[in-house]
Amino acid sequence: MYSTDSLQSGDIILRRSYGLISDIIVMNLNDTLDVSHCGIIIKEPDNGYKVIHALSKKVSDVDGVQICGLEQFMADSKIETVRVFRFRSDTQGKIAVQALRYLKQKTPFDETFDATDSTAFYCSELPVQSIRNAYKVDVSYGAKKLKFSVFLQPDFFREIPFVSNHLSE
Amino acid sequence: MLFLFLPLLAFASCSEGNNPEKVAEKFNKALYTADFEGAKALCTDESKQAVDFVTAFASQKVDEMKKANVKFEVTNVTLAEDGNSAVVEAVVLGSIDLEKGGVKDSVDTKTNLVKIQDKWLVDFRLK
Repeated sequence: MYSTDSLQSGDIILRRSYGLISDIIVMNLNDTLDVSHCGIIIKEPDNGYKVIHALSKKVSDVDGVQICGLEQFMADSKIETVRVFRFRSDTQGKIAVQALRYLKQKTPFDETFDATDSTAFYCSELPVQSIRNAYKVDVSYGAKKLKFSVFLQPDFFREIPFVSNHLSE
Repeated sequence: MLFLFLPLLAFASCSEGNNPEKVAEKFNKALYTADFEGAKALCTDESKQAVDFVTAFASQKVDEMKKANVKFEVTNVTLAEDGNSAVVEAVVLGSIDLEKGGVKDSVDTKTNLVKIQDKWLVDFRLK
């Protein structure tokens, strides 16, 4: 069960998917967060929700920045792993504007996993770069290879209630 | 009479092996036991690169994976209204834990399948 009541455009959604691809990503990241992918929430005028995210052509039918419905994103997610975080300063939806710009530009997937290069993005690089461009804040402190725990920094982010077991906390 | 039964038997055996549950089972067992070519034979052309991705990263664990006694227990099957796609939810038992080593008790898995020219194939790409 999840609730979209508290979601707003620009929120960052993290998940672990099913299967070996996700296991491999988690294994290689060796992070404190048990997730393998993330995206940026877009709230539509009709109150529907979409997710802008970046996937490699190797594991997806589209290369790089792409958009899907929240329902589709959740269908591929282990629900107990899904968490949503909001950049504290994002009161004007600027992160979503940046993400939509990267979508329009068809920014390719960053196969080199270099977060300091803004010509291509891997999944966690997309929100970090969107924040960097929108607010001139580098939440990654110049790291080349990002971990999802970058979104756990309380000075920058706060968690938004989304999945019911997190809602009750 | 025998002539009548033989085609029926052949049809029945083909149908048995070519349903979403069976294809999902064969695919997952192949994947989790490092039979990557076997897995590729059961997925869509567009998904083969995703299997290659697994192949590349699982290379250090192949010997362990090949020895795994993997079981696949289907928990739910959702067939699309048009009958051309399906999602098989299952529990994989006895697979190798790529993160920590050893054997995993169980792994929840969800396998997306599409029907192409009357043949069920796994769509292994992420959405």
